[in-house]
Amino acid sequence: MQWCALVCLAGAVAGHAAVTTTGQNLSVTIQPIAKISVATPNVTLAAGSGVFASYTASAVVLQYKVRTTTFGTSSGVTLRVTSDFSPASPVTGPSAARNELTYTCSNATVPTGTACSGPITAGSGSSNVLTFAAKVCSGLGNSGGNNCSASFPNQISVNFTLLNNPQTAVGGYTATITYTVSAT
Amino acid sequence: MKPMIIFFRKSIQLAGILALLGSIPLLHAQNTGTGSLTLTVSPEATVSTTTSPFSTSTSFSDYTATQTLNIRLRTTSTGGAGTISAYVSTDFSAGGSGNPSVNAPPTGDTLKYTCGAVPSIGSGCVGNPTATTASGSATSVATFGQNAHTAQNTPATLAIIYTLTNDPIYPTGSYTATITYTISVT
Repeated sequence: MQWCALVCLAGAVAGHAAVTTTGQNLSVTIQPIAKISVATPNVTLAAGSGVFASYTASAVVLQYKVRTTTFGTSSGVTLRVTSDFSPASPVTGPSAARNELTYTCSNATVPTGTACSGPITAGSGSSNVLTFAAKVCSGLGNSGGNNCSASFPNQISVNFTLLNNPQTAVGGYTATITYTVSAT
Repeated sequence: MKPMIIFFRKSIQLAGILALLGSIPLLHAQNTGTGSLTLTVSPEATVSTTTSPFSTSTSFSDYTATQTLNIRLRTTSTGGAGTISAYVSTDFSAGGSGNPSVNAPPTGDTLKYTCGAVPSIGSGCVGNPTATTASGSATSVATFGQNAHTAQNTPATLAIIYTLTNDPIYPTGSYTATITYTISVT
């Protein structure tokens, strides 16, 4: 009986040592994403050398982060003049609406996009600054088959030129430019 | 019956595809930033010239030549003004020996000018001024008032007709004088 008690106790202990496992799935959906900021938001157009030479500004530096999908072929950066040069009345001011404002692009750091060349006329409608290829991302290096850049954030410079029109009235003027980045 | 079965299978597949599409989130992201462009527009002006050589139509009638000024300018909207003045910066000759000269001409000889068509944005010279070689005494060719502007692509033009006495004493030969125009605006 004592022997039996010992054996039975050992059997009971062995039964409590059974281990069970369970699993839990972690799911994530990676979306296309894009963010832009204007590193030099307020720039001044200065008269060029020579009488009635066009006004030029130091570069407007745009910084952006982006991830596009494998089929995201309609991604990029655009700009538009959301507020034309003012004051516009009662005197005649410089005018983007009269196609007097143009821009070029330079110093793009993303290796998988196409920067504008120009000069391109800036107006109230969106015009191209940069076009992203599909399956690109900022800042992870060229790994995993994506066309990613080592720099983070990426940047591109926009260089504006304004016609120096004799009909423009003497005075000070300001225009507002809105930059939009999109990713699909 | 077989066609009916195929129909149901196709319908089920289509429903499955539509359900899958419905579960896919919108794959589009967008973000914006803004910046400003600021400038100060100042008064500016420039003038250039084209010249026809002196000529005479009849014996000993005065020599005439026309200089056309191409003017681009902008004056201040309120209180601004502009002027163009001229002087002979290089004379026909130093004078003497009967040579034509503005500064030291043979007795009674002069270089005078009149203004042709006057641009609507300003006023041309009045009368028949006598040209001078003194830069400090440059004579007025045109004046402009406040808020005067030329067109972007078409400069204003002003014709200056010069008249030089055709003095029989002049030695035959070729002579050249240079007129300097100065435009200033506020």
